Amino acid sequence: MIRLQTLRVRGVRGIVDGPDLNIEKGGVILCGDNATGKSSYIDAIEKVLTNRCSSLDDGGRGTSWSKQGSHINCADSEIDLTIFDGNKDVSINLNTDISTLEKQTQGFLEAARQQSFVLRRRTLLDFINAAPRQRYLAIEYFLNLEEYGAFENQLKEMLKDVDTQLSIAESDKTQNERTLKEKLKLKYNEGISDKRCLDTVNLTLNVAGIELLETLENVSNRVQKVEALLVPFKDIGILQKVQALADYVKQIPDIQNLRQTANQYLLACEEIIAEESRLKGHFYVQVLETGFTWITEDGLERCPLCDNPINIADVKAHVDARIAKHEQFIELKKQQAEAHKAFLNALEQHKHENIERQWREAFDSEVPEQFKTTINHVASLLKLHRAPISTGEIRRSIQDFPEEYYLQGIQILRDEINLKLASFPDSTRYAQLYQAKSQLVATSFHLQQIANVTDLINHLKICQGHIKILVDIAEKGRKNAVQKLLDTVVEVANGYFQQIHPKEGIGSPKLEVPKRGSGSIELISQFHTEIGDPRGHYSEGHIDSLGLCLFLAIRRIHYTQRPELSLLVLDDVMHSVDANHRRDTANLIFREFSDHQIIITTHDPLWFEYLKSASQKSKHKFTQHRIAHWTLEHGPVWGDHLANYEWLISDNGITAKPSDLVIKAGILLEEMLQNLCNNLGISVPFRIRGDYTIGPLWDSFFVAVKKNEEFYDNTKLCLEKIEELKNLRNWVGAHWNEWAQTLTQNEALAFTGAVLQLQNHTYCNECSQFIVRISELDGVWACAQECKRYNKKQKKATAQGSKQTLGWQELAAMGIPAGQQISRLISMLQDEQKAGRITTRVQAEEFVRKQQALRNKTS
Amino acid sequence: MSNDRDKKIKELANLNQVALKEFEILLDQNKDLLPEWKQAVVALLATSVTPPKDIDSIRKLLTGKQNDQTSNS
Repeated sequence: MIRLQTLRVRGVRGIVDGPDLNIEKGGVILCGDNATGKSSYIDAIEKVLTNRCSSLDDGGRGTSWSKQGSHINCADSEIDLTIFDGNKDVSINLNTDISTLEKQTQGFLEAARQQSFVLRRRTLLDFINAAPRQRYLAIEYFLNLEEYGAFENQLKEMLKDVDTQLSIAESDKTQNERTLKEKLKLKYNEGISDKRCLDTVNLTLNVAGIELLETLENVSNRVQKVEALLVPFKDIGILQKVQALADYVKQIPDIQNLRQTANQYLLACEEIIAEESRLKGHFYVQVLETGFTWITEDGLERCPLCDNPINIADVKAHVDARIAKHEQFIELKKQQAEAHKAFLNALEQHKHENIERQWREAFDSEVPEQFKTTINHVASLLKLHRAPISTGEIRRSIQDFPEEYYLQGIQILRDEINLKLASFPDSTRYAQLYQAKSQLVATSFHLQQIANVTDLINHLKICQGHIKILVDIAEKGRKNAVQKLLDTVVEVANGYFQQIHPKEGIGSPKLEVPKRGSGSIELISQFHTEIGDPRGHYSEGHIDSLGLCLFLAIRRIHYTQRPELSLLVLDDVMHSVDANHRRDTANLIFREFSDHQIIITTHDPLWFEYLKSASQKSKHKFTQHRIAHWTLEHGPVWGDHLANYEWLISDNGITAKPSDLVIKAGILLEEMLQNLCNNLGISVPFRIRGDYTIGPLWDSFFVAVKKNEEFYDNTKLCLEKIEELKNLRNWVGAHWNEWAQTLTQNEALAFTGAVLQLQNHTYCNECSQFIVRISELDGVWACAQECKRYNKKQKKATAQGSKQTLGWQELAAMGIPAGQQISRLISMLQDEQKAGRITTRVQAEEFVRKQQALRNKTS
Repeated sequence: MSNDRDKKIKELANLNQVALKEFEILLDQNKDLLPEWKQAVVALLATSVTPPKDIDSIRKLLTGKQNDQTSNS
């Protein structure tokens, strides 16, 4: 079975560069305040295993791994996950090509990508709060119905095809009916039938004098007959063109109009000349009016030309007088302009712009020469008279117009057109025959088309009905299967739920797939006598529990589907559940999922303790970490006692400054006291802020431990040393002052040694836990497997904690260097005592001296 | 976990097969499908180990008549 082993993370979400997460066989329990990077580890695990991150990639929020996956100060993300495949370590990162991995690892990663193993609080609430359709979509990803879904979709695609074909066929039928109605001149809303078509066609045949049809079967025979009668009309296209030309020629206006307008124009021009002669000089009324406007608007007081003074009123009177004197001239000018326009319009009507082309098309020859010469003359006249010319030129051009020649040309056109029209057969007859043929052909063709397409429509409708049935069956089949799965999910979920909330009258959840609609899931649950939406009656805690149990049930079923993935990740899912139920939940998780590797994060220190306690019952060890704090620059920092303990006994601890030693040892002592007061049931003064620091904890602890004789006997020395030096932590860490600067190495070592000794007496590495009070054994203090055990009443010296034990100070006093060497010797002494080889202090000192001599010899 | 529940969970391990079984049951119960349609679907399911990927036998029933029409015209 594949297990996660080590997670190295760089530049991901809230993590800058580690710390690395070593994952024990049982899993990880991680505790930290909000926004300290817990979920960043979960995101990294999910991303590297599934190539997606549900907290970012679920869409709809505008977030994605590509945008927010990296730490905001890091350009690149690195995730290296080492897994153990049962035989060897396998390293996976964001660039790993799955196909290059061994089959077992491939199966593990494929299962991770298909199934649910990560639950976040947001996912949990989303599922409960989602609309039924959204709930189905949320769970659809994990239903593993791809193959069946493909089958169902194929049927649906086929139904879509049929719908499209049916729509096209019906449109085709409508188009054929519309065209046939137009040909037969039937009303738009009239129905099409063989009889109606036959009657209509017979009416047309009757008009054309052709034998009527008895049935529509003889249509082709009648078409042949009509076509034979139409043979003489083969040039009917030309006839239409000649007819159009004849119509045009008929409408050529009388030449009298042209003559009249030309004379009027000439007369107007002559009258202007005569009036000008009378007035002796040209007169421009517009110049007068415009000049006066300029003078008025500019308010000129002197003439710009002669510099004489100007009186506006005098100027206006002078202008008005001049215009009055020329009123007759002005009127004549208007008449001349109108006469000019009328003359040009008359000339336009004799221009015959398109007649040459029309003639060519109808007669296949050029228009007669005489007519052509005349229309060229009209075109040149138009060009001449559009520009201003003298009255003499106007007169000459009018006199030169070849009126008689033009009229003869028009007559030639008429004669030739009439001659051509006479050469064609009767056009009325042609119209009758043409309509008869058109209706016969249309009736035959479109009725056949309508019959064909009607047949097709009937077939498609049958197919549509059957495919609809198959789609319906496919949907029902899927829903039935999903419902069976959901029934099992809720049965399993309720089993879990009742373990957390036994005899509370709630639970029995139901996930129902409604029969209508393509896919949705209704969630209902029992609340005493009521059954309905759990949000209606459940508390927040109950809803949290219900969501968690449903997820755990799905995980359990998925594990059956793909046993290669035995991983359960719960990211801070318990928010509103009270302490007792949280304890039950912790027990449930470790009991029911003992076949899984479990990774749990929480912000709640109490649940962290419950989880640690519950994990003791597991056959596997768990990594336990507490995140002390988080900064943007450094990311999360481990703050749990083991990390501090490891640091104190490491080379870093040995060479550290006295103040740093005291600070670390103080943090370790504080957490130890929190755990021990909790585990041993020691009453401490209540603090509403929940900040249980060394001060209040130590006083209570120091009083309480004296009541356990065996424990006190074993720890008296270190307890008294801590009592003596405990304020160092406060002075150095919280209230840095001059005194703290004088802190000596010996004082720091003495305090640190005492704290480490207390850790050795109270924390069991085998059980990964501090000692707890076991009420059933008359208040015995012990770890889970009683590796460390202290009786309330002293009976006899025990192997682990006897007076023969040499502590930190004694070993330091014997000249042993602080740090790892002392820890190693304490551990070796304990082993010797356990084995019964050391029973006195003298033997212990002898053993230490021998070990040192051996070490000195080796080095 | 009870044996019954374990058994149920195991039965649902391959949901595709469960859904297909449900499809077959509903198909068998249906009275509205024409015999040739039912035969085509049953034959299709009989030859499928997993849910059918190729449903051309049903498509033939859909297109067969149209081909006839084309040839007639």
